[in-house]
Amino acid sequence: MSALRPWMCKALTDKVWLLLRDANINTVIDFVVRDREEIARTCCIAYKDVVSIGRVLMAQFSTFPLTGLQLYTNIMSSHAILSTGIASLDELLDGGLYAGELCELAGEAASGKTQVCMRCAVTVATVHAQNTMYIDTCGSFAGQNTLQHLPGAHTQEKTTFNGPFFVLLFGEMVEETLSKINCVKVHDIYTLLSALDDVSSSLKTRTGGQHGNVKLIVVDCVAAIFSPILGGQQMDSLALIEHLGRQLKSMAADCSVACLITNNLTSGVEGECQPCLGKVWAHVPHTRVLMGRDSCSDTSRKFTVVKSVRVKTPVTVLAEMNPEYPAG
Amino acid sequence: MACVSASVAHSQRELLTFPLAPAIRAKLSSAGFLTVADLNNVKPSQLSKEAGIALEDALEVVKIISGEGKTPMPSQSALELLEQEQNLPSIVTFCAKLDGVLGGGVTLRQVTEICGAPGVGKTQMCIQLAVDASIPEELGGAGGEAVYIDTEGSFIVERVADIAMATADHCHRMAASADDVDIGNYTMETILAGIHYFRCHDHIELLATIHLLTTFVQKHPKVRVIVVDSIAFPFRHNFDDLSMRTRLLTSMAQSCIQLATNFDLAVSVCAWEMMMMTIMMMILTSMAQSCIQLATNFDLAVVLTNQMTTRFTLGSNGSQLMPALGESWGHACTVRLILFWENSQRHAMLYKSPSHRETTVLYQITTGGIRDVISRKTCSDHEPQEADGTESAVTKRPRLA
Repeated sequence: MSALRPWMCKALTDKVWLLLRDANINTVIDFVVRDREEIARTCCIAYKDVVSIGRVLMAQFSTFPLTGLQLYTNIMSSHAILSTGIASLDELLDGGLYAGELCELAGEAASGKTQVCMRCAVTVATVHAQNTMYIDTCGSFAGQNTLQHLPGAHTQEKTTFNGPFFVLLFGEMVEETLSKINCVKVHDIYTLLSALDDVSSSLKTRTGGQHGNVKLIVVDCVAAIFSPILGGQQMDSLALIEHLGRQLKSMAADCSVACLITNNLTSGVEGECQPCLGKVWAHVPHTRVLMGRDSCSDTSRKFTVVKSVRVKTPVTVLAEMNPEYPAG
Repeated sequence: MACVSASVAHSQRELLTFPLAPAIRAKLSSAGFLTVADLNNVKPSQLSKEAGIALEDALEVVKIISGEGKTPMPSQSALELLEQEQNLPSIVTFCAKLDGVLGGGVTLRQVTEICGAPGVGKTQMCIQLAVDASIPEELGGAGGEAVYIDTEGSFIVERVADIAMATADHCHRMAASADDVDIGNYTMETILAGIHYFRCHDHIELLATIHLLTTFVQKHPKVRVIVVDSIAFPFRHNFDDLSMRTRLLTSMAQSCIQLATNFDLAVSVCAWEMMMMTIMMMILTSMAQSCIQLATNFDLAVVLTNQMTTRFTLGSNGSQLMPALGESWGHACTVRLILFWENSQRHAMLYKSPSHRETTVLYQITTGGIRDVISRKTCSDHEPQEADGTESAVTKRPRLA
């Protein structure tokens, strides 16, 4: 807990604060765990003051109770299910991505994780008319790629996607859609956390601007950020994984945004594939979907839900990934 | 020195999320400074006294937290990115089909990995790209320079001169056929002058070079491509004495077994191997991150080559050839191109790409560099098809059956 500062409450004057410091009571926790009478005796502070300081501190650092009904009304007012743009994946996730929840997509290299993320971002922009914050850690986000996922793109000749001709053709629609997707490229965990902090503070204060109206946050991908700092003598990395999970979860809940994160699949000790970042991260996402290539077709992908609060696990579906022949 | 500025002062952001030294952060948190709000209106001198850290450290903390000297992170919309991309040139390979697969050539701002068995043409491809980075802007090229990091010692400058000469000739022919295009003094010498060559002998030199590239690229703003040939070599051969390594490992294993039997312990021996692997992985992935950062910050292309290795799988599949350095590395690059032999012809397969579908195309290596495969009937006479005997690359034959 925080440090004790003078004038945190009325009774905590400069003099009292110095007395407490002399008794080695520096933080709120130090204060709370000590016996009130003992504090009053050793620091020569009036018992009345000690009790009043204690009461104010407790009130400041506690949370408020909510009834189930209040929670339910809150949820219903901010409820949103965002479509991923892939019909069978939506069905698998019981409607799509839920606001307030984290969905993780884990797959091997070149299994199409980034494609799904872009499809989601474009769908959220076109179908739901909401903004997306796309945090790219592996340098794979490009404006060109988002074009392929625009609805109606598959009906046009492929050659029209390249170059300004396409922008002329669909001018306004394309511009409007693409300006709803904001991309930040980050390369280490600290910049990722400060980017998330920026988004959440502007969402909470409702200042609008670039981050206003954000309904989907995509982090592609988390493993790339942590691999350089995991292992060896670096003890902080586990704490940072934990912190990222906590920050994403509280952001999702407080600002009622949906989070889509991608993770890598690598071979574990016994040779079977498992998502990176281990058990610490495994409890963070609400929903975990594994994706992989399908042996029968080059363009379809296999999705398997392995963790979910809504649907029975594990369930597997096949989905067509090729933008030119969308599923459904 | 001012206190933490007002704009960030009320943030509940935890100090854990700032890049502070662990020792200093531990002292701060035991003194009760956990969030940015706790540092509100605290002067550096006061902070140094209360947390018991040096005044310089306290100044540094306040500086990091208030984000001084750091430009705010730019967030760009997909539309802005698209507009920028359309103005960026790509680096052609001179094999039209391969360029088509890659979307006009090797893309700037991305990391492209070229994997392939020995002798299939990885180095030739790299040299071609390093040369092609110099194609003048008037002809739709990048008109830039190249950084070539060689770990295998396979950069043969005579071969580079050949390819550069052929490229210069080709460009002059193109400029002559088009009206009012003047590419001026574009010769083999100017091309070679624009290739900056680094020779790295082990993984430490490679790591150091890649980390120092930021300053190098700032000094040479015309650099458009960074080639690393190959990324795998130093990591697969970083131990001078392989028998020494084996000896160390087995003696370690022996003492583990001894420990285990004497003290009833379970020691997992593969953990040793794993530990070495994780450190290698950390180095590799941090290198991948710096490559991506270079690519995005300076609008240039990064090209890496990787070797192939055999993966044995239990069960019916037997073994298969796959890129070295494992799966975690496989995630690191944006584009992965696999070169292989089939029916004594060179094939290039786009295996991973965020923007283009998987495709396989044919290519060939001539005296002049990488070219399309031209069927005998349509073979034009200005393409030098026949070797004059001194060129080793032309006579390269598939070494794998």
